[in-house]
Amino acid sequence: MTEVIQSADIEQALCDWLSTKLAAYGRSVHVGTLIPNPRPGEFVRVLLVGGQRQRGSRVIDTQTVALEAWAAAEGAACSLALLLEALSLSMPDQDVTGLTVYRVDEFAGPANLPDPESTQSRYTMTLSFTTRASAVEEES
Amino acid sequence: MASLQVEMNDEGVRALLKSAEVQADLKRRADAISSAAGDGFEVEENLTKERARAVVITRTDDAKRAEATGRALTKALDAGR
Repeated sequence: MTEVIQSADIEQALCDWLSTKLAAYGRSVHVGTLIPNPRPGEFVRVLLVGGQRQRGSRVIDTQTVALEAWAAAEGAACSLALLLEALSLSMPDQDVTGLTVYRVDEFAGPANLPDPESTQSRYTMTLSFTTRASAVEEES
Repeated sequence: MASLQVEMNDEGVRALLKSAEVQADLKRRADAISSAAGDGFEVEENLTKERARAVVITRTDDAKRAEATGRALTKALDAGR
């Protein structure tokens, strides 16, 4: 039987893990894939923007993710972004439930990219997460 | 243990980076990214002293908004592989 190998749900894994870790570092903020309505003062958006299975491997997967740190003022958005970056880069050395993270590479580091649709400040970064894909079973 | 020494030919590397083949490859990748990103994105090519370059830029306000809000250009990067 052919084994079907599925990529990790990196958005969900990052939302769960970053939410817990940010709280542990004193920044209890909403972490999700959508902009919340109404917008809280601070929040984080996680957006899968691409990636590919590593050539020659069925299970080593690289997924590219944009992380956005939003806050009322630039200083707060910047510090939230820097904490997000630090936490993300530490993932290969951490215990992440349900996800094996081999490495994290920075495609574009934190940048001040104001939101055109609100007065909130926003810092963004793009990171590549190399993770392990896993087999999925047929249900019947 | 045998050792291997590699000496780069800087002039040759520069010629390669500016060659017609590299320019064509960059153009192909940039065109693919621009198409995948959608309307309002354009390719600009130039040749510096050191290398050929191709960039995809947002030409219209709609394209700028599409990247700023929905990451249209960032999501299209894989089309250039």
